[in-house]
Amino acid sequence: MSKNNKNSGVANLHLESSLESLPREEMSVTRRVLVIGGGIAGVETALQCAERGFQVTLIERSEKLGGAFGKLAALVEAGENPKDYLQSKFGQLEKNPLIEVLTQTQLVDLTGLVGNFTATLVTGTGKRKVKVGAVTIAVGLQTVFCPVKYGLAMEPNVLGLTKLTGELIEGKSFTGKDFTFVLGKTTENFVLPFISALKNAIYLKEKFGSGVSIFYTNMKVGGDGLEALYGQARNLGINFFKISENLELKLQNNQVTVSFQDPFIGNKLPGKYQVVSDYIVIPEEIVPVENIAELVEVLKVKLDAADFLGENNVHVGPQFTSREGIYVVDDIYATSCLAHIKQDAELVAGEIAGKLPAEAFSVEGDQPQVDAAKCVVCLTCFRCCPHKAIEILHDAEKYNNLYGSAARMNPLACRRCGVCVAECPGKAIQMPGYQDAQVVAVLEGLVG
Amino acid sequence: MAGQVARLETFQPEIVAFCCENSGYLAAQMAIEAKLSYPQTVTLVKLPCSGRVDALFLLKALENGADGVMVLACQKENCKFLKGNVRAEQRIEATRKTLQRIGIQPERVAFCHLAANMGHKFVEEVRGLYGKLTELGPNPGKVRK
Repeated sequence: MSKNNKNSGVANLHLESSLESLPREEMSVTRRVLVIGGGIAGVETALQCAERGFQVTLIERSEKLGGAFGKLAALVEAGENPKDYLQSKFGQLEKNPLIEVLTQTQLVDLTGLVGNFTATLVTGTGKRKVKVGAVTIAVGLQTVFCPVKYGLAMEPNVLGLTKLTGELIEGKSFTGKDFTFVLGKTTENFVLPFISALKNAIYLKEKFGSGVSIFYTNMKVGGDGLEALYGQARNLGINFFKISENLELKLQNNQVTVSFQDPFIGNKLPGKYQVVSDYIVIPEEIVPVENIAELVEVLKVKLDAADFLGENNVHVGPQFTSREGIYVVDDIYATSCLAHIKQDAELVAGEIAGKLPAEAFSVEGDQPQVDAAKCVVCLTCFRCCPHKAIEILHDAEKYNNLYGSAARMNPLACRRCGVCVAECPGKAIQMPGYQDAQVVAVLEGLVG
Repeated sequence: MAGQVARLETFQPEIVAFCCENSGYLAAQMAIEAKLSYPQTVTLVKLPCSGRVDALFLLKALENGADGVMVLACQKENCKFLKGNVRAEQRIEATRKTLQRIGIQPERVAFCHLAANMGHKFVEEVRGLYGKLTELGPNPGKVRK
């Protein structure tokens, strides 16, 4: 064993030599993408995929496209109307012959693997099956207004962030009114409320000359140009107060009083401070869309701890799910700014284009291989595969065993982790480059 | 008798560490680059994922002269392949039971979660197992001595 260590400390498996002899496999795929969700993220993705030559089926469960984008001015620059932007995108959708838009449609079943999914859609007129190569989830988020969490009642001067945004877009005047924003008590995991609050605060200050105070636990402004936005807000004279837990909010005579202790100046000038304003703005709770559980069950992907989609994992980007060929556009922990949604849509469309480059192509078969003679179709691999990449094929002539069947790791769906190889009770699966014999040979060479 | 005492004093446990190439292997590389000192009797075997660690590998390593084996996997909930580290941990637990049944101390198999930038943890874990193996003495299950 010590001989090994003197050289490199590593027992290397000889990958290169085994890779050379790998067979190539012929794949034939459907170049159509199913986009779930007709909000701005879905629309952008559909356009991006069509640009890369894919046919697109865009489904939306409500009657019309657009989603929450029309309500959320934070997604574009403050003051600009998101509805105009949407209209121009709808125009592009209509003109594009590759894109099929189905409203009042839901996905109820998905079978097959990347490249060859069969999706069952329920439309107003009945069930319909579509063959698609990849699926993109762009269902976005849902907001719930819940002032009770802040100890507040439902009063006219208690506003949610998106409600305020909506009123500003509609042109309601707030001349001479003062505002207090309280951020981060319940929605600190998300970036969207911070940006939305900053943009609204700047708009209020510039247009109506309002006095604006922002109370925050942490100011999350990660993202292009967002730090500058914070700087701009400060320069305009918007007050920022860092708060700890003990913030008292009181509603009296149409006024809001905020009492707080400042953790920074508290040492030198102890005591409570008060800020009085006309309106208090709190962020709505951000929750997953209602039917997320059903959708996830149909897609056989996994949810994160807070029931949101997308992987919260350093090794896997947030646009990816546990399965190949199923992607997420605009995971909601991200900034959710328009720029970010566009970037995500482009990334996912590029990923799909790389995955399904043509109707027919060949790939290197470096995924684990099954020896059909040893496979008894026990389904252990099928069940333990973390990516649901295993299919059971039946071909009495090809598979020389009692069952005329064998498991197969689909080269497009497999991520090559080797879990199935290690689990197979019959040792029927071998992984190129990491075959049992290769590893055992290394282990046998240890003595000496 | 004197000879045996001398042999025990110079006993240097041989360890085989199965490393996930996304975390354990990188952590080991980091420890080497940072010149952290750890027992030189450790051999690293790089695998695509800790989930690829077969019970066969652990037993073969012990059979072929290792006094202890360890598996270095990614942090919980952070496996590149989502469930590889969970599978590995379960498999190792099963292997420990097998070892116990055949009269080999199950502590000879170590498992730890670490990230690619945790060279110090790698050293800590290796030293921990090394210390434990020094106390346990040579592996009685070696077929090839």
